[in-house]
Order: sequence, then C-alpha cells, then structure tokens
Amino acid sequence: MNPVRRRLTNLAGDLVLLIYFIFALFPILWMFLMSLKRNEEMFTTHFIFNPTLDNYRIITIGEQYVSGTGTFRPDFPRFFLNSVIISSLAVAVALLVGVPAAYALARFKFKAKENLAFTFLSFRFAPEFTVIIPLSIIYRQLGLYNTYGGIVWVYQLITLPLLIWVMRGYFEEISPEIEQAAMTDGYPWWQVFWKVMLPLVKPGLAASSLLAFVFAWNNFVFALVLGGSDVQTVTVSALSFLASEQAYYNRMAAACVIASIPEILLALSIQRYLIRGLSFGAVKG
Amino acid sequence: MAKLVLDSLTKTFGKVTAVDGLSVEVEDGEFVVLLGPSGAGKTTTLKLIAGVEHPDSGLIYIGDKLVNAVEPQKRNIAMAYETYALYPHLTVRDNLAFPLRAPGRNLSKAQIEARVNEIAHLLNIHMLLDRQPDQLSGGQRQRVSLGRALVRNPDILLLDEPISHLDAKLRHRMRAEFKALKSSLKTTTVYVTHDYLEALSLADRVVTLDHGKLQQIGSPDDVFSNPVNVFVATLLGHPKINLVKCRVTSQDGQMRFVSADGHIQLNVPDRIRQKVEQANTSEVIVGIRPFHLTVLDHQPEHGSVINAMVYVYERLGSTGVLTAAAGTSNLDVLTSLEAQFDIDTPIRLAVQTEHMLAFHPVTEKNILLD
Repeated sequence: MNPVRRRLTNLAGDLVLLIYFIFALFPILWMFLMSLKRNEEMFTTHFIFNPTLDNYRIITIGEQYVSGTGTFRPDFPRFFLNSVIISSLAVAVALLVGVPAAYALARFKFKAKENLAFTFLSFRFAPEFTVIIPLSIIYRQLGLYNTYGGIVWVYQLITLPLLIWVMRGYFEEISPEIEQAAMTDGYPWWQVFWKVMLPLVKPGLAASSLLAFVFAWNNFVFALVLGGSDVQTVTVSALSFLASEQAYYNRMAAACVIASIPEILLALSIQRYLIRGLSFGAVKG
Repeated sequence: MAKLVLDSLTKTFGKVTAVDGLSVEVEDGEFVVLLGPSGAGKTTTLKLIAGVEHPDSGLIYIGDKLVNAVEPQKRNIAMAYETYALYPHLTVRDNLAFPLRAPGRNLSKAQIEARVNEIAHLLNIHMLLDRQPDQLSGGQRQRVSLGRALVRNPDILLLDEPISHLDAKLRHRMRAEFKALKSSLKTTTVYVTHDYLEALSLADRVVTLDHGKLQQIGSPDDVFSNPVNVFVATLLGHPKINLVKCRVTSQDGQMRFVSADGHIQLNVPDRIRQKVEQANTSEVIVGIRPFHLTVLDHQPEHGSVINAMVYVYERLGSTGVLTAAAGTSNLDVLTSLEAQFDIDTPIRLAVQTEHMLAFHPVTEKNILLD
C-alpha cells in the first residue's frame, strides 16, 4: 500500500474513531454541563451559560428546600454511603463464593458440570422485572426487605455470573503442572492457591471485580423494589429529584456526576492489574 | 535417600491405559532410567510416584512405607517436569528458592541464599537469577526447572526429560554433569527419557516401557546386548537394529536364515542354531546391529556375505551411515568417515553372524534368551 493511501486510510480511521468518541462521551459531557446549570436554564440546550456549583452544594450539604408538598432534605451523602457499602459487600461476597466456584469448574470433573456453569451464566439472561415480583414477596416474608443483607444477596445474581465465567477461563489457562509442582515442593493446597494460583489470575480478578462492582453500583430495579429508605442507593435516590411539581434535572445530573466518581476511580486504579500474558513463558508450548 | 517400590501400578485416563501393571524395585541410591517412546507412560509413572496422580490400582512404597495415601507435600520427592512448570510470577531466584521456603522447612535466609547460588552456578544460570521465566530461552528454563528439583535433598528425585530440549552440545555437557551429580548426590533417581544415549550413559539400570507395560529391566549393557524382544532391540541404538524376516532352512547340514526374497542368506552359528531348534519355528526375525556389518573391499575368507546396492550414504560427524538395499530389505551399516560410496553401486557386506539376534516371528520375543 503506497504511503499516500496509507495516510488516507489512517485519517479515515481516526475520523471514525473521533465520531465514535463524540457519540460515546457526549451524554457524559451533557450530564456534566447539566449539573452546572441553574434552575432557569435547566431545560435549555445552551453550551455557553452561567455555571453554578449550587446543585452540588444543595445535594451534598443537604440544604433544606421548600416545595409545594413539603420540606425536603436531600440525604445524598447517606445514599452514597449505602451504595459504597452495598456494592463493596456484593463484590466481596461474589469473590468469596465465585472464585472457588470458578476454580472447581476449571479443574474438577463432576456430573452436570457444564449445566451448572450455564445455570450460573443464565442468571444474567432474565430481565430483572421478570423475577422482581416473586422476589419481593419472598423477601417480605423472610424479613429481608430493606436490609443490607437482602440487597447484597440479590446482587449476587448480577455479580456472580460474570465473575465465575471470567475466572474460570483464567484458571483454565494455568497449566495444572504448576500446581503439581507447588505441591511436590511441599506447599499445602491452600497455600498453593494463595501463593501460586491467585497471583497468576490477578488480571482476571481485577477485570471481573471491577465489572461486578460497576454492575452492582448501577443497579436500579432490585434496589428500588427490594430496598426501602434504610438502604436506598444512589441510583434510586436520583428519582427523588423528580419532585412532584418540578423535575430538578440539574440536581439529578450533579448526583450522577458524584455517583460516577467511585467507578471511574476504581477503573483507573485497576488498570495496572489488567496486564495480559502473565503466565506466558512458564510452561513450554 | 530411600528405596522405591512400585507394585502392579495401573492408571487409565478414560479409554487410554497409560500405565499397565508396572512393577519395579529401585534400590536406595540407584539411578534408574525409564526409557520408551512418547506415550509409553513414563511421565504418568513419575506423577504417580510423586503423588500428583492417583493410581487406579497398585501400591507405591517409599523407604518401605506405603505412600498411596500420602499427599505429594509429605512424600519428600522433587520433580523436574518436562513442561518446566516454572512459577511465572516469580524470578528465577525465587523459583529456585520456592521449595526451600515451604512450610516446615526451617531454613535461614542465608542458608537459602547459599543453596540457590550453589545450584545456579552448577547449572550455569547464576547470571539469570533476577529474570522472569518469560525472559528466558527454552534451554535456560529447562535448567531452572532442573535446579528447582535439585535444590532440596529429597528422598527421591524424579526427572522428566530434563535435557531433551537443550542443543546437542549442551546435552552432552549435561550428561557429564549428571554423571558427576550422580556420584556426589547419591539420591535415588528416576530419570525419564526417550533418548537411549542418556539411558546407556547414566543408568544403573534401564526400565523399558511400551504403552504402559514393562518390557525389560536390566543394566544398560544387558538391555542393549540381550534385548528381550523386538521393541527393546529397536529402542536402543542408532541407527536402529536391522530386522529381516527370514525362513529357517538347511543346506548341507548347516542351518541358514534366508530372507523372503532370497537375497540375504546367512549361515547360522551353533549357539543360535540350538536355540532356534528349541523354539521350533520355521521363521525368525533376524536382528543385526549396524556395527556388526562391514563393507568389504576384498574377497572374504568365509562367513556370510550379503550383496547389496548403495541406497543412501550419510556422513554424520564421527561416523558414516550407509543404507544398503539388499533385495527388498534395507540395511543400515556403520562405516568409518574415510569411506566413499556412490549411489547405486554394488557392494558386499560381511555379517558377524555370531552377534545376530533372533526373534520369534509372532511373539517377537528374543529366542536366544530362553
């Protein structure tokens, strides 16, 4: 391919990327701009306006405001904390349960293994709405409604499938002989797991726990239906900004911006673990 | 340092029987070589001894203790894997030190450091100690794997083709190193290879395996000179032993072996004749080692001579290998380097018939060994 043609192709590729870039990031930009708008400008499409940090102030410091239906006190920090607690716990439980499950699926032979693996994956297939009614009945009967435990438990439907399938793949990629070598070297099975297997699947752990966290954090339906005001998460709280006589989109946007910060920070910090090819070279062929 | 006893070990993987009723006794301090082609069950046998695989039936004794139920961690065995199985996330130094840092092994940092350096120098990998496995060449990885097995003083050392992926010169050097190691370590060792040279050079005894079944155990000389069947005869020696199917005939009271197309006719010495008569067979598979054939450049006094045509001549460093076509059979002959041969020229081969081997045509067993 001659140089001119190559440059044109590269340029075209860059153009396509730029268009996609704008397409993907524009909603986020819009949300950010919205969070800086005053109430009067909330419904406009101006890119140039008089920005204000009032929205942030209102939702974080929790200034009381009066509306037609009464006095409201946004409780955003509490909801934020709820989200942090619930999402972290959900990922922790998923790791505790999912990693050994993935290891078992990778290494052992047992009846109906593939059926079981597919069942785990199928948790993600059904839309949440199809199970939400029976679940809410069960939850109320069991007393799990509006509890941290209940939400963390139901979030396993979101966090476990991906974790198990990704980690299973990573475990399968490690040659069993490395484990055998560690055993003949004198290490008990749990130390083999801790000192040899886990370091080797770090990239998988990083990627899947990040995704699990994001899915848990973003969840709306389960948190809305199975959680009450005690465990209200930041996603559900966004609803409260649609007060009865006015929709405070600007405050909602501010809430969303703050809500997305943990996810962004987590993704950035985990990047260094997402290195491929950690096991390359240790086993021949 | 311990005696190792395998009693009727059997291991199957699905439909494949990897090890089939294997019984071997390895004396304390003995260096035993498991020799066989790929798929013979050698690696599986090592893994059964190490305890990372469990036999379907059979018993394993280490030092008179039954260890079938003992986990690999407690068997005090070191193994160097054919696939190296290095720890990818650790440096070479940490890979070598890993066995020494296992729980229960109370070595000081200084002791570990000293031992790692000792082994690294022995295997010439001391300049690689800070590298990761993916930064090493194949030969270097193999030496690290070997080093990791040697770094402890185990009761039994299991080596799975530890030098097979090194170049010829390095292999030669490592064979010499092993011989030296043998006498200084005196560890009971089971060494797996498909290379008969390593078997002949290093083994106190050779165990030959075919598809999981034991063929023959014996000293290297024994297994080479008195192979128990065709398989063992072809396993050892390069070029491979020449095998020709012959009819047993008689001419002037002298027993002769005659090939199917009649091109090869060999006089049978008395010693062999007796055994053939005992075996009561009308056909034999005759085995002649390439160094028991000589190319004649003058008329022979007596003995068996084969008329052949030069097929291929290879000059391989220290010797020449001549493949000669005698009727429908091809015979390999070891010659000196000075010899010159042109393709399709007729030659005459003298046979040292007193060194012939005779195998039963159906069972392929060595008739001469009964």
